[in-house]
Amino acid sequence: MHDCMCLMIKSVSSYAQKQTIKFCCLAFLLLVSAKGFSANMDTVKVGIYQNEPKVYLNNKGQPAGIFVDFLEKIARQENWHIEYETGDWKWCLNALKKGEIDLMPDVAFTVDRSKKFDFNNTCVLESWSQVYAKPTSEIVKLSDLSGKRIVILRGSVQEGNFRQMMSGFNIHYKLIPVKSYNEGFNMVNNDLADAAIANHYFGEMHYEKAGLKKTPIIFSPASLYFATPKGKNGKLLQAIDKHLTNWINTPDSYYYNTLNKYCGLPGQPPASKFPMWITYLIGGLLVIAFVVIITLRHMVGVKTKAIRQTNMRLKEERNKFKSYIENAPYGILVTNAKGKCFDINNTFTSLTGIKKHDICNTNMYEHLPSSYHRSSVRHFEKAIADNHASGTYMFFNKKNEKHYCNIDTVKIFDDRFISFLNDLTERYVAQKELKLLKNRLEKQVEKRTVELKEKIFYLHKSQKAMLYMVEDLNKMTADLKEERRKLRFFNEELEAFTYSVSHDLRAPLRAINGFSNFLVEDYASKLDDEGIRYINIIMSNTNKMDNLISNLLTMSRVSRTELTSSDVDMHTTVKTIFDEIATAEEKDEFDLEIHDLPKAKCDARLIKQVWQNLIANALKYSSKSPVKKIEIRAEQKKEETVFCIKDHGAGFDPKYKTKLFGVFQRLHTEKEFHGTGVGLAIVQRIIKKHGGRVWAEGKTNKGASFYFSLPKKH
Amino acid sequence: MKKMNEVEILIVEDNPEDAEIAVRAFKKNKLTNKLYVVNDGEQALDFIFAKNDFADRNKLAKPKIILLDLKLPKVDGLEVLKKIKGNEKTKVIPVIMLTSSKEESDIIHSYKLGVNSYIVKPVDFDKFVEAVSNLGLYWLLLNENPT
Repeated sequence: MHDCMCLMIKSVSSYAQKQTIKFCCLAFLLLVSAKGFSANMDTVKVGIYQNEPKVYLNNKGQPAGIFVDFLEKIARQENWHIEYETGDWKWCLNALKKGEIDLMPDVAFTVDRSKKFDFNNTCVLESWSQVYAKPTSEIVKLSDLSGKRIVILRGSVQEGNFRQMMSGFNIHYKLIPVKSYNEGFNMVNNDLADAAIANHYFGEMHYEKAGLKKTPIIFSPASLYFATPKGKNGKLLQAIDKHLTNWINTPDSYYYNTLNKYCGLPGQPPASKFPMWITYLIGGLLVIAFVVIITLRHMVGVKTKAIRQTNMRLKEERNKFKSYIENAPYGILVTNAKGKCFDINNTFTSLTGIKKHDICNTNMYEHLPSSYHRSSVRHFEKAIADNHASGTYMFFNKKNEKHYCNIDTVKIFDDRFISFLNDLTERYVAQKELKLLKNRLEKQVEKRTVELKEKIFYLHKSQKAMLYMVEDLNKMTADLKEERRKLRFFNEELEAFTYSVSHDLRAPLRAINGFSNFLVEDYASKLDDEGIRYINIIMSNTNKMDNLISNLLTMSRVSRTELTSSDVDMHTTVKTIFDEIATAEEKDEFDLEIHDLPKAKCDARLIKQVWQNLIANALKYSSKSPVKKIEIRAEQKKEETVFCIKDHGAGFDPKYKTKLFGVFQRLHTEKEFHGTGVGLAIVQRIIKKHGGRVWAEGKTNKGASFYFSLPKKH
Repeated sequence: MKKMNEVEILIVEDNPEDAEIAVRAFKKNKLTNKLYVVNDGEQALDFIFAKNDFADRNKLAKPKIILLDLKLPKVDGLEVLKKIKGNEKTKVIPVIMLTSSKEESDIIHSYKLGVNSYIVKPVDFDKFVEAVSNLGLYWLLLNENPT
């Protein structure tokens, strides 16, 4: 009975509005009476079909039934001419939709239908559906219909309601649609179906005859009306309403008589047969009942709404949870201790290749290669013993792909284990590659280390070599320093020696010369000519020695002196020196020809000494020649300037020309020409110091040419 | 010592022969003014500043010319020159350096210390006489000292 109640609540709540109207009608039914009226209408086409006792063709083939009687009565009063079109329920509904008929009786009101059809306002009949079955049937509640064959009127309101109701309870069954209730009852009777659904009007009339019984399952209370095509025949409906309202409000009216005639209307008060107070009492009771029902219905409605919302929320939560499970990055497997699988998720499938419908409700070991059984069993034994187990396993899945998985199994409640499969394959592969790379790297590092060591070894070697070199260099530097120090020391010694020579050697010479002079001056009378000649020889020798010393000093000075170069005007230099050293006589006698002499980069003081010596030589060796001419010229060459001084004097034997520039080397006797043999040596020293060359050309008694060159760059 | 106060030409020369030659060369140039010869730098300074052996000498009677040999025992010629030219009272006395060679460093140094002239003592006596003559001392000695 509980199931039935639920069923009622469910169906009723959908049509709460209409139902309210219905009960209002019933409440005032006994209090108000109807009054007839007429309308101008010609022919009304009415669809008719088999739905005893509301609408049907009787044994004679004439239309009959509660609706038909009402309509006939109204038609007579309204002067309508009724024409019946016969068909089954569905045909009639179609015809009405297409406007092929004007009116159709016994149409349950639904929201859907109200969009296609117009309905009259006053409810003609209340109806509900009931399940009928064989007397032996054990169907007493909705869940008993599970797996049963159930007959239903094709296209009827019951069909839709029944389907909706059953789907809500998630009960599976087989529905057999039929064209009429009669056919359905016969099928049940003949065991072609287990149960039939019919509206209670038909059921009440026929179930006994059909050899069936009423089950306690009732549903889909419905209000039945006349319907017309949408937007047409509004007046028809208005007239029907007018009459119906009158009848319903009038006790013992045609309405109630008709109902009585067809089905012995339960609860129908034949008002006229009872005293008035009973009528009022019943009316009062009905009102109370009505209020109670309304209240109850409201409460039920609220509750239902809450339950539905809860259901929806639960469903949402379930879906969410399901999506979490399905989309989890772990493969999930739910089993019992023996290995029977209850659920897996998508990740499990993609990991192993095992599909949900294959493994669920089977033992998972059937899906594992036998080689994996031992480790699996061990894993689960541990999970059973410790409530959890964890391990990493390698396996090949159905596609023969190698996988490494960490499997965590947890006991969630009695005999239920959930396993999480964490795919470590990528990590394993990466680790493997990493290991490979590491090994390769290590080898490389080893190789490089060896190379580096070799390099370092060689570097050490070269470093050592370098160190030795540096040491050598340091030693050399030290040696050089030492040498330089020695050199400086020698130079200083030389300086001292030179100084000493100039002072100390000259002093005695001065004395010899000076006192010889005094001797001649003071004692000339006591000396004969020979004596005086001796003294003169002494004096001339002292002078000669003085010259020698002077020249030696000059030469040593040349050697010691650092060059200080400048642009020297050679022409002026030559001219000045000639003027200085040539005596007045020589200046008269000699023809000096100085060609264009370029400026030269040299040490002015030293180059002066060169010209002095060369010009003095030219004068000296030309003194006995008939031609007294000195030519001085220069020649610019690519890298040097060559200067030349040419005389027409004594010249020299060319075979001795290499000896010309040696110290104390003379090619003439003292008797022929005075000289110390140092002058040209000095010239050579100075020119060599400048990076130039000296040479000479000449022949005996044919003059001599002396050349020296000065490099243009120092 | 009175004689010392009349000295007009002081010759500082360690070599007596050289000194004698110098004196003769001066005389040959008619420079017969009172000559005095000292033999080293120390004596030269004592004479000039009237110290030690010459303490009795009149400090104010300064020689009119000093002939100073460069190379001297004890106190070097340049040192003597430095002392003479470093004293306000003596720095006006003309000092003529006597040298044996034309060693430039000596000459340049002397000039820096304020020497007035120099003579390279030639071996040839005649040239010596000529050099002294060239100094023009005669005229210098005739003129009054600007003290």
